[in-house]
Amino acid sequence: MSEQLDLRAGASLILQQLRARWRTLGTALFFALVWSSARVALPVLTGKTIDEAIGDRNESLLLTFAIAIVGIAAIQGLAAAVRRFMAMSTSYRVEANLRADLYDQVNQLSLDYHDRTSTGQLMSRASADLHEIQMFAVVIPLNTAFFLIAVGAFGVLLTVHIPLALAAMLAYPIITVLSARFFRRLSPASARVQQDLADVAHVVEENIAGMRTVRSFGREDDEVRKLRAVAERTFDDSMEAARLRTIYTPLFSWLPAVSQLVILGFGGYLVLEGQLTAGEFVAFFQYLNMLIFPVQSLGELVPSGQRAMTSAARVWNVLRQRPTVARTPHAGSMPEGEGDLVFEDVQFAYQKGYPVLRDFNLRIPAGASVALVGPTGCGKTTVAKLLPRFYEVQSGQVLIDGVNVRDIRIEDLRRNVGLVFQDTFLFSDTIRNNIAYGRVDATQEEIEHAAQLAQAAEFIDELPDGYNTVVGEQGFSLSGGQRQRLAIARAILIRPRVLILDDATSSVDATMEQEIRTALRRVMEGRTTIIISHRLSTIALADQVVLIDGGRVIEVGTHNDLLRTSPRYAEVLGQLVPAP
Amino acid sequence: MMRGMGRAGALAADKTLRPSTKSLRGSASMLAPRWRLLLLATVSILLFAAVNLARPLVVQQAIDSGIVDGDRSALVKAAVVFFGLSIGVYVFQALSVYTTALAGQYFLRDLRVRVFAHLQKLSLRFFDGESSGLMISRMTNDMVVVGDLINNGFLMVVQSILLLVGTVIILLTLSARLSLVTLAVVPPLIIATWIFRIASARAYDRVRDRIAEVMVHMQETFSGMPVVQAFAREGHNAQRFGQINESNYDANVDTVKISAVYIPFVELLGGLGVALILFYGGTGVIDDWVTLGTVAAFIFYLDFIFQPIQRLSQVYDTIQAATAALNKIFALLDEQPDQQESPDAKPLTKPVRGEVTFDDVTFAYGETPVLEDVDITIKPGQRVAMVGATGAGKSTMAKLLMRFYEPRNGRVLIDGQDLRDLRMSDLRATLIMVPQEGFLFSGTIRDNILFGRPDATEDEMIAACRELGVDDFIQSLPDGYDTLVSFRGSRLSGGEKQLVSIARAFVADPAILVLDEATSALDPETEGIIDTAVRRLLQGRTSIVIAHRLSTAEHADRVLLLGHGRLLEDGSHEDLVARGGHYAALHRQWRTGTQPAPDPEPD
Repeated sequence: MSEQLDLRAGASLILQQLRARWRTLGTALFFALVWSSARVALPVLTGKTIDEAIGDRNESLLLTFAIAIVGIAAIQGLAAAVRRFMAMSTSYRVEANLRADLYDQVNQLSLDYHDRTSTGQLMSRASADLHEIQMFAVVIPLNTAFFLIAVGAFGVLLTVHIPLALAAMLAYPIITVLSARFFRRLSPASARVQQDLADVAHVVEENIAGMRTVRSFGREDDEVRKLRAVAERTFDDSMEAARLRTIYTPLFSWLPAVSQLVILGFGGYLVLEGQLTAGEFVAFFQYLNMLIFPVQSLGELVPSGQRAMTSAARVWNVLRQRPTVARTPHAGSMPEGEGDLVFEDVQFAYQKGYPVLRDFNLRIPAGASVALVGPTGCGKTTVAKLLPRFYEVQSGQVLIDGVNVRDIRIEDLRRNVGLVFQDTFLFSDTIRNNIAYGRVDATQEEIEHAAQLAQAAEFIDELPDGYNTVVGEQGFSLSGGQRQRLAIARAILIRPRVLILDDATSSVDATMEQEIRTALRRVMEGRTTIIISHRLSTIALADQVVLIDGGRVIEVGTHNDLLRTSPRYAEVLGQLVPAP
Repeated sequence: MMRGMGRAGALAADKTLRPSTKSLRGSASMLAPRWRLLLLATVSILLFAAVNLARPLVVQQAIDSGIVDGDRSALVKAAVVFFGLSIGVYVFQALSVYTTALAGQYFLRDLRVRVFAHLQKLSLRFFDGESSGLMISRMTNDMVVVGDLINNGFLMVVQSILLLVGTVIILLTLSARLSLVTLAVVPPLIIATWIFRIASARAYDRVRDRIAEVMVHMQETFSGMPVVQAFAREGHNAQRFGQINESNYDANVDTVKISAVYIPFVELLGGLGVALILFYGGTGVIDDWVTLGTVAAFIFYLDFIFQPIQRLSQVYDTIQAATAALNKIFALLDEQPDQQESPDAKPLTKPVRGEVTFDDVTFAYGETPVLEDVDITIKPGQRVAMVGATGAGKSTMAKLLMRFYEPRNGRVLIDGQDLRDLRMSDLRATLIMVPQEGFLFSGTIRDNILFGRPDATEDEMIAACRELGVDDFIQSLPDGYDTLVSFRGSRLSGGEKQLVSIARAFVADPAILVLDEATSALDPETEGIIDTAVRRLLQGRTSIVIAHRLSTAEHADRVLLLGHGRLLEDGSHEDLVARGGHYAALHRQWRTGTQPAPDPEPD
């Protein structure tokens, strides 16, 4: 999946978020400064205690210094608390805001965008990428503090003894550089391990989902071989990352040890020469210990920033999209009427150069029911999708009760078109909420009435928690026929002017189909209905049949008429038609 | 959503630090062959801790014998020893990082392969519905948790414990008096850390629940986008997601609040420790019961107390999660496969005639029997259609024949040989089932068609597809037989997947074929074409076709009508219709259902 990434736009997205919260960030930075100063002051105090109190055997001064140390530690602690709270909560704020923006944007984008974008892709934007940005937002004030500590400590050491300070601190910029290198090299290695883990998961899920097929063909050993290969790859890549850790992490302990050696030898010599006090000698050691982690962490800043920018660029790629089905500025509400539908010279293509509908003309009078029939790919489902304006026609127009669907507010339009899809999508929520999906304010009576009309009331009552039973991916599993009937109830609860049944009976067996058909017959009464189906029995519910082929209307008539007069119709219906 | 949270809660409750006997014994048996590597790892970890612990002691010596006494040679000696130690730090750290990673990764790799291979032998009931999710989770989430411990936790735990214990011993040896005062900060540190760990574990559990809610909501909304837009729910969704998203933010901020209390406390304790050492140690230096070097060493050692305690609390959850995961993984490895090949399994007598017998078979998944006393013999080459309502036991019969399950009572035989006495490989080569889902593996269409017989030639494959009438369809795909498909996001429709899976079965060329609603998702036109081809291809093979479209039954040699786990009617289509029983009624209903009532044409 190669995607154009505009890192500049990513960076400005992050900056814009941070700038909007400059007050809290500023506070965080201020307290980072306080924290750093306190930390830098502590070893100085230790040194002074050793020299002036212990060295000079001044017990009252000793107490004073001890109290001062506790006081400064308290200030340091409080500053750490404020800095941490401000920085972390800001970063979570940025994450939450971007997530809400992303979510709303995805809701607004038209179906053509969703057709070419997988849910997984969007989810990884909204989770992994936002997390990366959040981490970076935390790292900024923290690393600023670390940088201040390093500079402050170096400054203090310089005032004590310039050559010793230079010699002792020499290793620390090297640690930062090495650490940056380490994280830069580690991140592709860890990404490879992550990919390997995803591959393992893929092999496992596929194997488990297809276990019957695997067993049926006796391919168990090959499956194990397949997994062994990814497990080996995971092993190799994990060890590659481990080798990087083996090379670098000991360096991060060894280089400070070398610095300490410099102080021990050179500093010790200076003490003996009388150029350095014992207290300063101990303070030097403390500084070096204190700085090990901050200088390592500084090295992480650059790679973390780079990752955050890449992630932000990916997020931006979603945010910058504009819905193709645009809201018409002065769109009105639904016109008066009973659902009279007209498709006039409609041309439509999902992809340029591959027209699906050409010169499509069809009128469905109010209250009529029509079955669209045709071979796979003839465009019948597309006709259904143009009516609620999921896509925009390329030319021609779709009219409902005499008004172009473009001139009706999208919400109004869609609340008047009830759709039952081929693959019934239920949300992990109660049955009640699933039925009320299009009309949240519906009363329990209305919901039960809709369920009754859809022949769903009976089985709902038998469920453990009735209308409060949670269904969907994470809930109670319903049969295909039960799901379909819920979808029908959901569609009719909004009291739509037009009902569209897109292959609503395709995935159920004969007994269930009959139940659904009974339900449909009742809800179709008095409503303009478009039925798309392969099944003769379902087609038979419609008053009229429209035969579509190659994106055009070929024939219109009753089922029996068409059977007699149209050889193509018989062909399309295929085998199910008994030989005359 | 409620259930999802309930499950997360159950997982949280499933925490334990106690490894089960099974997982201890299992892990030990997997680690045992690598004892040399483990020994090397142990030695290098011990030495690494030792050189780390020795460093402040050398500094102490340098201060006391060198600086305070003004002895240059003592200083030089200390510097040389320190240099030696720093080399040790490098070498032993590198060794311990590498050896523990190697041992851990070997363990993980072997565990993955072992569990996966075990799954291939387990009864299919482990892969039904909810439990299939659990199986996936054993191989993915649980393994990742164990891997986390191996990558990030294990070495740190051992090192931290060694450093902590070593430091306490050294401090007590250096100066018992000073250590008692210094170690006074340890109990509050441990108590605070313990409280913090519990509070933040709770807060993070809440974060996990909330973020799971956010993810579930997003996942559902994104994948249900046509429904969302069809019902104009965008506005309402934004409002609802706003709440979920904000409550996730709040949960995150709660964790920040907890650490914003804990961290200052630790920093304060650290300062207090230094102040105590300096004050009490300082008076000691003045009163001459302790040396200046020892006081300095105490300050350096303070880090070796604070850091390990904090680190141990950080990895505590990882250890807990990994222990629980290992317990679950080894419990799974302990599951015995139901149907193992008998040790003295016999080969199937060749050539295979293809006679199938159900001899008084009774079967149940749970308590209620799904099949009861079913007695059927299918002659070689017979085309049998199995019909009956959902739940009548049709698919179960197919599964028993595949030996996916064992009958509770009675026997299933092929050519008079009990399935239990047959070699699995012979059974698989003789009998193929095409399930309704038309399951495709990730790979090319070719890979999928050749799945059952990878050594079939290109010509054989294309010939079989031509005969079936699916060659045209496959050629029309962008890359023909090389078109990539995947088991999830396949571009193929349900019907197209079924076509490929039927082709796969035919290329495997079995003597007995079972089609379980294998053409249900095809449109009538295609189904008509395929049905004719399938009928031709079935000639000479024993076949059992499960279908709800009775057109299949009309063309079969024999129809078996099942109801409530029993064989209700058995005979040719014409006989059964003439008999006027259940089948005749079903057939009549099907005819009228699919045919417009007032059809004037004679049947």
